Amino acid sequence: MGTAPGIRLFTLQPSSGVPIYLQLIQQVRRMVASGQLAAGAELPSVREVASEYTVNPTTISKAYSLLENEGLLQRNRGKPMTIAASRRTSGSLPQRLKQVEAQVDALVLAARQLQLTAPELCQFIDRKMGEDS
Amino acid sequence: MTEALVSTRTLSKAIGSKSILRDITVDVSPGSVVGIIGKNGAGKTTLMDILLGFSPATAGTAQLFGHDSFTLPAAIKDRIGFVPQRDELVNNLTGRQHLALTAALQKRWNHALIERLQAAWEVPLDRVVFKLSGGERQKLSILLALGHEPALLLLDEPVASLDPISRREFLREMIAIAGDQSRTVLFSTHIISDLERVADVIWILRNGTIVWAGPLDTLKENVVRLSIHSRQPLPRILPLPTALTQQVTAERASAVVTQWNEPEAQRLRLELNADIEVEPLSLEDIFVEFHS
Amino acid sequence: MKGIARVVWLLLWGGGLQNWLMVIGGCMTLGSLGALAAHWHPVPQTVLVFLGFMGVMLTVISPFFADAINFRSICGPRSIWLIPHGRLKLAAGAFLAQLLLAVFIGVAVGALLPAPAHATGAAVIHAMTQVLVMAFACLTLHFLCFYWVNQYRLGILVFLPYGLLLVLLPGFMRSPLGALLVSPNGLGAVATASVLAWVLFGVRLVTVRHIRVAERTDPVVGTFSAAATGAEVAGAIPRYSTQQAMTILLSGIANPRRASILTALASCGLFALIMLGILLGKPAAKSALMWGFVLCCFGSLIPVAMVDALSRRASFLWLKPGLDRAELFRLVERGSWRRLLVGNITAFLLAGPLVIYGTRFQHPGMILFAILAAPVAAGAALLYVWLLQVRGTVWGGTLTMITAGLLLLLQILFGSAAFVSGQADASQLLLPWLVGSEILLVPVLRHLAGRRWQRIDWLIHKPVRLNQP
Repeated sequence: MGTAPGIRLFTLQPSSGVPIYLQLIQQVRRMVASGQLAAGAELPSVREVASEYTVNPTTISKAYSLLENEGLLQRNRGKPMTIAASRRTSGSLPQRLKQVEAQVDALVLAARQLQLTAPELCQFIDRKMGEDS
Repeated sequence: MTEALVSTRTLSKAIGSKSILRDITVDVSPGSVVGIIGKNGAGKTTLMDILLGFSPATAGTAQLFGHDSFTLPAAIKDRIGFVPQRDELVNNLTGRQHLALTAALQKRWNHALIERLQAAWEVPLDRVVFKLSGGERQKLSILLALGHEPALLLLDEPVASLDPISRREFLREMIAIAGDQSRTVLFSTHIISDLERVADVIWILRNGTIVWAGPLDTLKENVVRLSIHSRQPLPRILPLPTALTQQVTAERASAVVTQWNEPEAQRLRLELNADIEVEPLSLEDIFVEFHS
Repeated sequence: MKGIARVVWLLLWGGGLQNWLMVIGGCMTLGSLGALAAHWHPVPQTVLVFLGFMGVMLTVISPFFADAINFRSICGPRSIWLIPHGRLKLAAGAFLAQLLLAVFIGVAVGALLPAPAHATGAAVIHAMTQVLVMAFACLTLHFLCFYWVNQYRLGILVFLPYGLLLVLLPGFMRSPLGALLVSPNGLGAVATASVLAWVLFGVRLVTVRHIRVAERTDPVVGTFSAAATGAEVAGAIPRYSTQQAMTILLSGIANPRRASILTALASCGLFALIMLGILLGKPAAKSALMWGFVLCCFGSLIPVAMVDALSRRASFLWLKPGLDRAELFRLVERGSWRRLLVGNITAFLLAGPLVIYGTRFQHPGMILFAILAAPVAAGAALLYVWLLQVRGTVWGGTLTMITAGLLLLLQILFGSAAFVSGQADASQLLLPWLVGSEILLVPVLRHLAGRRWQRIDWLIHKPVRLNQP
């Protein structure tokens, strides 16, 4: 599954407080964890991303290198980078939980301020998750 | 480790009794894009002037390509490109004549590049310079500095007069240069959103001193705003050694720090027995905080 | 009050060449007046009086030409409209500046005019008042016309026929109409008319919506180059040699060759007018030579004044490959010498007729030496003095220039005296000594200037920028 030209895979906000490379890493992780990017899926090249989003290619390159170190990406000589096949594309439990860690932190903080206890909160979450399915 | 392309050591400059730059020590490694931000009058233009050798430093050293800036040998000047803040165009010549003039003085000139950029940026080349608008003159000045493909490009507020589309086109070119690891760019600007896209190193100049010189990513990761909610009254001065600003009211506090990491977070949580919300800041917010 | 004082300061002590000319002219005038008052005559009295007049002219000439132009530039910005009574203060400042100039002219000329044997203080004051009122009227007329004409780009050309008018002025003053004007009633009328003109000008200035400032690019020659070069190269790819490119960037003139030709032609025109005036007055052979000599000296002064602009613009060439500070110094030096020699040769050729007219005077060799060698030597020394002024110490620079100016003044003084007296006395021998010492000074000054250029600081020695859009 390749990316069609012009379709933006990521959402990068240069003016955000989060560095661009980190945004990219988080988005790739999320997409891999959710299965949106399957094993072997091609990623656009550093140059393509840099020119599409008008950002410095060094930061894209840094993100790709870090993802490669994590084992998420695989470098193929002469061809675009692909998602590594060695991991289960849906991600292990700790990986998936890590994706929502930021939101959970915020939820816990809000709950503490409103003086909600953990059981009350969990009950609420159960109910919410039941509603969807 | 590659040798620094541009380096200064305790650089200071004073004109008469007025001190313009104080104790600046920075390095630029080849292949980086450095963005210099500072308020008006902070000394950005003077810093560039000294780096390029127009003016001698009062104290300390400035070096380009390993040579002292003030006595820059004539042989290496074809590796430097400079776009000054106020253009140096001759009023009665056309753009095309200016390009020919500059090409005559340079050893190497990339005509194809200039043609491509001139078309993409819509620079009128057959009109006399004094009939051009400020933005068109600026674009012409930039073209003149890019033609000989310098290894080191310095720009002093190159986009101040450009509309957003022209700025975007200019950034595209900077990004293409940034992709080439053998070329280095330094530019000073007020338009911080541009820097967030294209710079990888940021220098913040405040009142003649550099208050931050380092990678943009590290800057964004380290300079954050903390919202502290405690279960007990907080001390009037928070134990934050690197805080830029702080406001404390009873059990809530807000502070902006310049060094933030996990151990620091843990320490603070324990010490204050509080919840700490971390908000990353955009470069513009960071700049404002450094000046408050 | 402060605003008005500031405007007067801007118009009278504008900077650069104007200040230099005013200082030299002031010294000459005061020197002559002092010598006359103290009855100390190192040279004949007529020469002293002549020098006094020269001094007055030097002091007044730059504000005369520049004030109306500068005033229009000062008034132009729309922000002046927003300052309370901004335009009114400007008008008042211009009025005061011209009045001050008129007072200076009145007092100096009135004191220098040859007084009859039983001249009383009252008679001298009367003479001064006459000159003052007439000068003020002339200055007012000139200022207002020149101001009006300068909204058009070619406006600056109007001063060429002016020269003729000025030369005819003494003749006019001797006519019956002139006599009427200098009678007490006439003076009163003239003074009232002048003040009225200023009032009307002030009213117009304050009420007019938008003040148009002509785009000033290169002086006059700009208009010709733009049209010509634009037509030549539309579509064609221009080619420049390295030398041409450096000259253009250094001088800031798009077409240097055309510019030199046009400037030479304009100087010829101006000199021709001045000589016409002189010859109409039927001078004696000796004073003709004197005038020739003085004209030649100015043939060096004006080109040398460009040196400052060149050395400032050299910063634009600093980053061009192959040029270090020593090279830039030589580049500016060569450009200045070219201007100096062109100026001198033009002046020499123009003074030729005067020399031929005066060869009834003995020592033709001496004449040629004085007319050719003296101005070149003085010009060369001044050239390097200007090149020394690159480190921006205000007092040191001013002092050096005043000293250089005084030396030049002495040269003119003794040279003129030599011509007038025609005897082989002390003054005639001093000129060769002076010229000789200047020639010896030149290598020393060159070495010093070269050394100073190693430390030139272009942050202080900035290029002067003309009106930019």
